[in-house]
Amino acid sequence: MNITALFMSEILGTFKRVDDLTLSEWELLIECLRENASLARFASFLKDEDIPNQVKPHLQSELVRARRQKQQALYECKLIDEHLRHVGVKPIFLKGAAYSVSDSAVGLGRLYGDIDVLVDKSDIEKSKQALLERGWFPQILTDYDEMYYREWAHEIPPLTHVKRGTVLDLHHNLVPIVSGQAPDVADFSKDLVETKDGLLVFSQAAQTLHSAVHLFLNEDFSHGIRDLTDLHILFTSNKDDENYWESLITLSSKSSFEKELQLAVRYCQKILNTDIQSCHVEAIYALKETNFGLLDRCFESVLRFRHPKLDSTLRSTYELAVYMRGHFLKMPFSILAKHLTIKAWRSVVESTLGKNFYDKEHEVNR
Amino acid sequence: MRYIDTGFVSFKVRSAPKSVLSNIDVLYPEVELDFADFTIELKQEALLRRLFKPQISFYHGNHTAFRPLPLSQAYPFLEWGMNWCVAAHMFNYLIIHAAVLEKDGKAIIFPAPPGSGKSTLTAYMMFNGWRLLSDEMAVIDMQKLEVRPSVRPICLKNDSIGLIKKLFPQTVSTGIARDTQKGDVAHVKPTSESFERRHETAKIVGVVFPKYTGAEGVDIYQLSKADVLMSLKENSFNFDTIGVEAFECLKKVVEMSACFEVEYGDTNDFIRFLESDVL
Repeated sequence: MNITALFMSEILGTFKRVDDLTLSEWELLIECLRENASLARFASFLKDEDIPNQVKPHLQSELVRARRQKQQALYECKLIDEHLRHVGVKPIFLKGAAYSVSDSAVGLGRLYGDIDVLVDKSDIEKSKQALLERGWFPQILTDYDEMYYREWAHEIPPLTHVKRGTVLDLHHNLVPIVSGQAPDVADFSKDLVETKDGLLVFSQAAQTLHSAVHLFLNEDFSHGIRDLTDLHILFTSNKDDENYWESLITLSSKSSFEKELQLAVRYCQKILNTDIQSCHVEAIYALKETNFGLLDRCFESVLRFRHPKLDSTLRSTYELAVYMRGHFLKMPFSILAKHLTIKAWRSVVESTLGKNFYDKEHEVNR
Repeated sequence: MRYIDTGFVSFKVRSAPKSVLSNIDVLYPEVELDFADFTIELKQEALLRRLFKPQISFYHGNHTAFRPLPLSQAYPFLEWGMNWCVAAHMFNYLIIHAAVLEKDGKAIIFPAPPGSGKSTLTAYMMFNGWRLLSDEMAVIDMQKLEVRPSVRPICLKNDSIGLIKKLFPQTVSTGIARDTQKGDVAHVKPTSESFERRHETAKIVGVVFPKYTGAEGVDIYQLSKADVLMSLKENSFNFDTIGVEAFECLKKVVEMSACFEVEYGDTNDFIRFLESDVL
C-alpha cells in the first residue's frame, strides 16, 4: 500500500479510495496531516486522482512550500559547507537536511525546522567561530539551558542566521554525551555519500539507524508519525538491497543500538504495514532479547497521528511515560531527578502565570 | 460555531468568546459550508489568568502561533489570526499586502504602508460605489492575472473610525478595541454588493500607491515599472516561497498596469483621477 493510502486509513480509520472521500473527511485529513507535518508528504505521494476543487489549493500550496524548503535547504547547506570547508572542516549533513539534499524518496515533501550538521568534536569551536562570522548567532537561552548544552549535550545551542532566520544545530555526536550511549561517530560516517553538489551525508543504512535512534532515544514524540514515515520510506526504498540490510544490522550491533533498530522495524510494520523481507526482520529481532510488552502500549499510541478526534484517552498517559523514558535513557538518575524537578516547577509557574513567563524577551520587557 | 466565507478562503470558528461571535454575526453574512479551509478558535487559558488580566489565545486547529493577547483585543486578534492562516498556508495565489477595489470590472491595487490612510480610503471608496475586493490582501491568480476577492471587514484605526462613521451614517462596525499594537481599532462591515460578488474575480488595470497628505490638490507621480515590481515584492506575504512563478506574474502585472504614486488631500479629487486616468 502506498503512503497516501496508509495515511488515510490511519486518520479515517478505514480504507477508502481518494475519490470516495467526503468533504468533511478531507477537512479532517488536511487538518490532521498539517498538524503532524505530513501534508506535504501526502501531497507529494498522491497520484493524479480526482481531488475536489476545495481541497486542491491546500495540496498545491504544500507542494510549493516543500519545493521551496528543499531549495532553501540546498542553498543553506551549500553555504554552510563552504564556510566550514574554508576553515578546514568537512561537515556531514544529517536527518531532514540530508534527505533533502540527496534527492532520495525520503526527501519528498519532508518538512522540517532546523538544519542538522555534524562535525568532529575537536572542530566544534572552530566551526562555531566560522559560522558566527557569517551571521549565525546563538539564541538567547536561560542560564539553566546554557548549562545543559555545555555539560551534557551532543550539540551546541542552536544558531540562527541573523538575516534569513534559518536555524542550524551543530552536533559533535548523535546522542547526548550524558546518556553514556553516545556512539563512536566514525562507525556511522564509514561509508559517507557525496551528493551531486559535493555535500556529505551518511550512507542510507547509517541514515536509517540515526533516524531510529533519534526517534526512540527521545522524549518528544510530537512529530512521531512523520519520523516513523521517514523510516518506512528508508526501509521500503532499500527493500532489496542486501548490502543495506547487512550494514544496517552490523552498525546497530557495533554501536549498541540494536533495540532502537528493533523498535523502528516493529512499529513501522505495526503502524504503517511496512514491507520488509522476513529474513531481515528475523535477523534484527535476533540481535537482542527485548521485552516489548509495555513499549508496545506506549509506542503504538504515541507514534500515531495526533489529533483530538483520534487520540485515545490514555494517549497523554503514554506520552508522559515515553517522556520519562526518553529522559531516563538520556540522563543518569541523579541528574534526571534535578532536571525534571526544574521542568516541573516551570510548568507549574507557566500554567498559572502564562506560558511565556520564561521567555527572555519577555524578561527584558519587564 | 460560525462559518465565514471570504471568497478566497473559508473559516470554521469552532469557538470564541460571546462578544467575538456577536461581532462575527454583525460583520459577516450567515453562510453554511460543507468544507472550511481553516478551523480556528479563540480560547482562554491558564486558570488564574481568567481572574487576573484575562488573556486570549488564537488556535488554528490545535496549533497556536502567537503569544496570547488581552481579552479586550479578542476580535482584532481573530481577524489577524485569519490573515496569518492565509499567509502561512496559501501558496497557490500570489498574495500582496494591499487594498483592492473594483469598478466596471477593473481592479486597482493599492499597496501602502501603515499610516498612509489606506483603510480610510478603502472605506470611503467602498461607500462611493466601488466594490471592495479586500482591505488587506491582493490575491492574484498567477495564470489569469486577475484578483480574487478576499472580502473581510475593513480595519479602521484611531481618528478614521469617527471620521468614516460621520461621513457614512450607514456604517456598520464593531466597538473600538483600545491600545492594540495598531492603536485603537474598529472593524467595518463591507457593503452587501462586495460580499455577494465574493467569487467574482476582476482584471488588474492599475497599481496606485496612495498617500494622504491633507494638502490641497492632487500630486501625481508616474512610477517606473521596475520600482513597482520591487515594491509589490516587498509587500508580498508569499513571493519568496513561490519563487520564479511569482516574479513572472508580477512582471506581467506591472507591464499591463498603470503605475502611480498619488499624494492627495481631498479624497474626491483622488477618485476623479482614478476614474479618468487609471480605469
